[in-house]
Amino acid sequence: MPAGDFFAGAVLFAAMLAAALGGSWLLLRRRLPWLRGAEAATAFALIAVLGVLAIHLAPAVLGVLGRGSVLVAAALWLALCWRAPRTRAEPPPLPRAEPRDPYARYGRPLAWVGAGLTGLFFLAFVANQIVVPVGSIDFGTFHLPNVIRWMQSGSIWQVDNFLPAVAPGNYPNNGDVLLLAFVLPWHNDFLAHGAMWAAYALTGLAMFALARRLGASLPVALMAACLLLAIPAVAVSAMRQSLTDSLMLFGFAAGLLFLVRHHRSGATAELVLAGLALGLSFGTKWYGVSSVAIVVAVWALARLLAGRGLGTVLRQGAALVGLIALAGGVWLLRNWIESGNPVFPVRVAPFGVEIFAAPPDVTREQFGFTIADYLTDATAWREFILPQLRSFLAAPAGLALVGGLAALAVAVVRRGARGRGVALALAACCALLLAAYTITPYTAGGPEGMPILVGADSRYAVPAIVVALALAAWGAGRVRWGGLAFTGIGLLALLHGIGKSGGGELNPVPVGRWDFAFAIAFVIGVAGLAWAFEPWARRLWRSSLRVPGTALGLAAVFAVVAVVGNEVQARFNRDRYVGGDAVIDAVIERAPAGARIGLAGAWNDAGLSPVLPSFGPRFENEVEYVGPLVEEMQQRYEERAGFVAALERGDYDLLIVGRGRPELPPIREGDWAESAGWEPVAESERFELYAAP
Amino acid sequence: MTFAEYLGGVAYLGVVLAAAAVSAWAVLLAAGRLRPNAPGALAFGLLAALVIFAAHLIPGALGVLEREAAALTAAGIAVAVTLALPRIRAALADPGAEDFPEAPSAGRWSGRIAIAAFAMAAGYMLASLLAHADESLLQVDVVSFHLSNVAAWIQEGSLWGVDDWIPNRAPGNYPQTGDVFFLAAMLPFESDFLARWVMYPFVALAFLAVYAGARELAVPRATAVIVASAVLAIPAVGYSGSQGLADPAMLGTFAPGAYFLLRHWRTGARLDLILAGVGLGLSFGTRWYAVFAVLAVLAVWLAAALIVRRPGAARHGAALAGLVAACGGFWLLRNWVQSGNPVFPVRVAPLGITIFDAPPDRFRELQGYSLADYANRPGILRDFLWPTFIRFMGLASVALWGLLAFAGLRSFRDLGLHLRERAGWPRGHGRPLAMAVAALLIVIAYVFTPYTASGVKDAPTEGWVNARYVIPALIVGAPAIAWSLTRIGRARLAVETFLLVAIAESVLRSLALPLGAVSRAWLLLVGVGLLAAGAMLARGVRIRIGRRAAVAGAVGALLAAVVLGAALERRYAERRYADLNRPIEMVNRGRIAEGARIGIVGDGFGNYPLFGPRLRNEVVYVGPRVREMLTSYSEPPEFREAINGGRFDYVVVQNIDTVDDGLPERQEQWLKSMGWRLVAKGPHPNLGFAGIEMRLYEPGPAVGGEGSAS
Repeated sequence: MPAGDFFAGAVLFAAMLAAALGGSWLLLRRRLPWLRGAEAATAFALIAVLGVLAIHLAPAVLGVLGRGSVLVAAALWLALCWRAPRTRAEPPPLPRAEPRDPYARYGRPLAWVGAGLTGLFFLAFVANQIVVPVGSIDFGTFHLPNVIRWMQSGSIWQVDNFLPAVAPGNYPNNGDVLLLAFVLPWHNDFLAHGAMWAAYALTGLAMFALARRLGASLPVALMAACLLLAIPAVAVSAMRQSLTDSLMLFGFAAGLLFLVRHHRSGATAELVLAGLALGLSFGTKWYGVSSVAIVVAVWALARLLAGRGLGTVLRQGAALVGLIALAGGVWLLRNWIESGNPVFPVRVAPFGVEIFAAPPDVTREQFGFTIADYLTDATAWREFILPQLRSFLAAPAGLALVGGLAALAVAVVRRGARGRGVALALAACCALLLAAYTITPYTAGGPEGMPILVGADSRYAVPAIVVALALAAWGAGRVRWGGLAFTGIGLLALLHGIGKSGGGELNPVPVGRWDFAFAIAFVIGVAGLAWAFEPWARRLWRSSLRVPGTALGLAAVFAVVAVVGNEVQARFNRDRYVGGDAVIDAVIERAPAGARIGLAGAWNDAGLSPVLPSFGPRFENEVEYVGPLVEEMQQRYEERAGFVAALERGDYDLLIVGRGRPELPPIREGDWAESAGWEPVAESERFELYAAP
Repeated sequence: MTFAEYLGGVAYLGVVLAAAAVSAWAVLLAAGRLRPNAPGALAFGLLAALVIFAAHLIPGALGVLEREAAALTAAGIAVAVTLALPRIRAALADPGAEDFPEAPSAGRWSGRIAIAAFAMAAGYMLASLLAHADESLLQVDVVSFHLSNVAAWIQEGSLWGVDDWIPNRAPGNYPQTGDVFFLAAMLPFESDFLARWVMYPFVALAFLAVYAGARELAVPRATAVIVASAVLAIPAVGYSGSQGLADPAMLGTFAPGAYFLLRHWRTGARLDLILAGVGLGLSFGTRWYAVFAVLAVLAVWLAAALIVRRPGAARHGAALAGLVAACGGFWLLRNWVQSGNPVFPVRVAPLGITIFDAPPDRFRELQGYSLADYANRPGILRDFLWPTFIRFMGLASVALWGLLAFAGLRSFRDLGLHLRERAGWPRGHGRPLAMAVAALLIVIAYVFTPYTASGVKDAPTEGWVNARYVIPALIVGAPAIAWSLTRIGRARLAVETFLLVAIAESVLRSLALPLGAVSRAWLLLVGVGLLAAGAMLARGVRIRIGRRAAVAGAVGALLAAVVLGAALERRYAERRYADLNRPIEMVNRGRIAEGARIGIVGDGFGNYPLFGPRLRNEVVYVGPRVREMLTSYSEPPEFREAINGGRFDYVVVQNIDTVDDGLPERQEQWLKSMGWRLVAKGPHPNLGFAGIEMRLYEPGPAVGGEGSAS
């Protein structure tokens, strides 16, 4: 990318971000002025994320998505926030019910060590990945390709699938909108992974705030947040794979936080925040839908049991559901309109009464097994499920579940414990979430008897772990040694989690000592510079040069960030996706822009996806799957004639044919193309590349 | 060498050294600065070095370089100084100048750490000298151009020559003040048996200057010793000193120069300014990287003087510039005269206007990469540069770099705090900051200096040895580091302890370097000796000696040195470049008569042993100069003409050409086709590990010569 394009994009991105953050700050000050500390920070971040989503979704919903329209939407967002009136509500103050911890002086350093390690781990992972194109198969097959298709069409009213017999194009896409915000300014994906890095950090913040709200001491809350971030299924999916789960978790944890706050304060604004946060989560992942549904159900029941009255619960419940729909329902609407079923490709037929039909989901039938399917299969547990869970959830998740159970015991035994009701509700929520996890399709995905996707899809269990951690944090403060035990054992678990998350088992290039050295140097450097400049900045602030000096300082910081950013994008784009596969290399070389590329056949997941690289570095190629839509499901042609006719209709320049998967019938599309005059130009173990005759 | 010849050499060397000592002693006495402390020793060392340098530069520049001329010049300088003593006293007397500002005590533990640190760092240096005293120098640069230059000067009787033995590079145009000190040790004997000893005094001067610089900033003695020991322990410092590279001469003059500049800021004494100019000037003429280091120090000094509106800044600046040019500018003049460009082979063309032209530097184009070229390649930095950098620089340098950054930030913050509380620039308060800024400038220059990441593209395997170029930044910044340690309260002891560990690690790295190994017995002996001496010093033990005993002792020591020197010379001569390969054996064991003319084909690395034990062989590269750059013959007719016209008794072929791969082999074929025959061959002493050979040819009967082999 030329430096000029980069700088123009950087200005656009900075303007959009400034509007989102500025609007969030205005709303926080005017509508939620009573929030303080981590809760205020969580609210601020939540509103900012929602702002970013709104700024991009509004033009995309209207079919005018583009850099200009996003700028207009950003200005509108800021103006709307500017116009928001100040609230006159004064909810009762909610002092933290933090029990005295006699061993806090021991627990505090442990927790800060944990926080320091987690922070360094985050920076080290960033250093490890910052110029590495995301290689995750999901990211390259549908997350970013979907975003690119939105950018190309200017609209979200479409369902794009680049693989046959599955429907990732129908997934809820809030997370992809956040990705959109990080790629639209440049029409390039060098900063795409930054979206989920931000969400990952915010997940930790929300977890910390939630634990504090439940009465956990600072060390315990800090450790709980660190433990969540050290779970490999959380860290790797966000930091390396750029999967959108972190955004789901952030919304989920923030939703729980503000539900708990609202339960105690009764402030409507907090219920609104809770609804929007849960909506964010709901609209990000399919398992977000089930998780949020469970939370809302438990919340409603708990409110009833707490004597809030049916009318109140119904009224507030309706508001909550409405807000969830507002923040996350657009994707169900899109599915309903485009595929005739909000939850496509799942058939909705309660009690046999079909409300929404769906085509047979062959893939799910063959590979979408659940943990529940293997409940009694000891061999599968020993050989597949437990080893994968140990790797992907690691000790932090184990500690969370054990701690949650211990906290439940405390809640049952100590009837007078403060916050007991919320704790019991959380315990119920956790149990239901775990139960939902065990019956969610693909949690033990893979061929029958070989649940090889347990680890990859253990992400679906994390909402339960969030709740378990919150519960454990609550319980730790209710037992004399609890805080110290939680932070002490937590630190060990944290080390295990960080080791697994950054290690070679889950990463092609593990986070190594060089990455940690960079992280340490970065922290020391930034802290050192801040420390050295502090008296100069104070002097400037008190002088008559305050305004121009501050402007100059900010401009200098922006300039440094821009120069570094330009170097990062240059290095990212230098060898973007080159060297992973001979066919992908050939596509990159032959079709940098302006080409039409067809995809056919099927391919395994052991390597790069061809979809994202085929769009070109600036997303100027058109990429389609060459196959028919059968009952709105993308399928392959079964006969040569149809396939060849589709090739002619498609006017493709290049055709990438996946060479199949072991479990599928042999691929014939390559032979058909060749027989139609297409010239084979490259091949690899997984793909063949043909050029148009 | 016969004993008589040896004694003759001792006499000439003695005259030069005595004249240098007398001159320095006289000046310091006249100025009231002859004191037994670090500033006194530094001033004495710098002035003595200046006299030694001048005693050889003057006859060398006049084309009458002989040992007699050098001795006469030195004696003349001493006489002139003695005669001018009253005027010197009038101009420079400053007996009231306080040696160091008052500093608090560092405490008992710091004192112990300091003794251990010094014992380790200096112990390695000293043990290395003693263990290898009878061995000839073999470091590749030393035997490829440093000592070869000296041999050529001795043969030519002039310092105006630009002599090269490696084509497409221009080491003959390097600033060569460091080589003049080798000349001083070799000229009286026409032998190099004392060459290994030459750089050690400069290492000591660098150590003392860092220590004194720290004391100048009111740093406690122990802390100053620890930081100075850390600098000394860096393998690049110790290694350069023990291997005969000229870098210690640069450091050992640069550091005192910077120190006296710092001191002059406080005292305003004229002698301090002169010593600063002398030190920086001698340094300026020693290495190319010193040119920028000296300019950086002067620029920061000038900027600071202008910012605080120091009186006489312009006058002092002009004096400094003049002294630097006088003490170090000869080599630029030589280059201008001989090669048409003072900084040959670098083209000087600011804003595209060519002031001094230069030929294409093919080797620099191929392998002269700088660190900046790989700044955005973390993989290269991680896989190639860091492992070799740490091997050559050690943990001590890493610790010092980190502390230097801290010192810069700390001094910057302190200045900000000061300015916030009071208006105006504080007097003397910004000195650590100025030193940190000077260090930063040198680091920036280092990063952009060619060859700091040398090696073929994307494989900078040779850059590590040039990490030496950045040592001046540590030298100039080390006092600021020591100063910063006085600002961190009780954490100072922890940092000092860490530095002790870093020093130990760095000494171990020095031992692991090629040619750096020293037997444990020597290390133990010297280390324990230094520890004991340090402990006695710390306890205040003073050995009282009467005047007569002192004189007798000095005379005895002198005689002992002469006798031990003779023994050393004999033992050295027996082992000189022995068992390296057959061609070198033939040269050094009399199989080839002295005075032979030897041509070199292929890159002339490691040519120095071919000059013979008394440096009487003529060794030249068989290649033309194209626009003043030595190159190689690539066509047979020109090559044959050069061989025929060169009247060579022997030709040594080395199968390496870093620019034209395979050319030496082709030239060897042309040589054979002319009737030259192979006499001996063997692995190259420096590059044998890469399959490089030294092959000695003599003219066969068909050429009409029988060679000079006996």
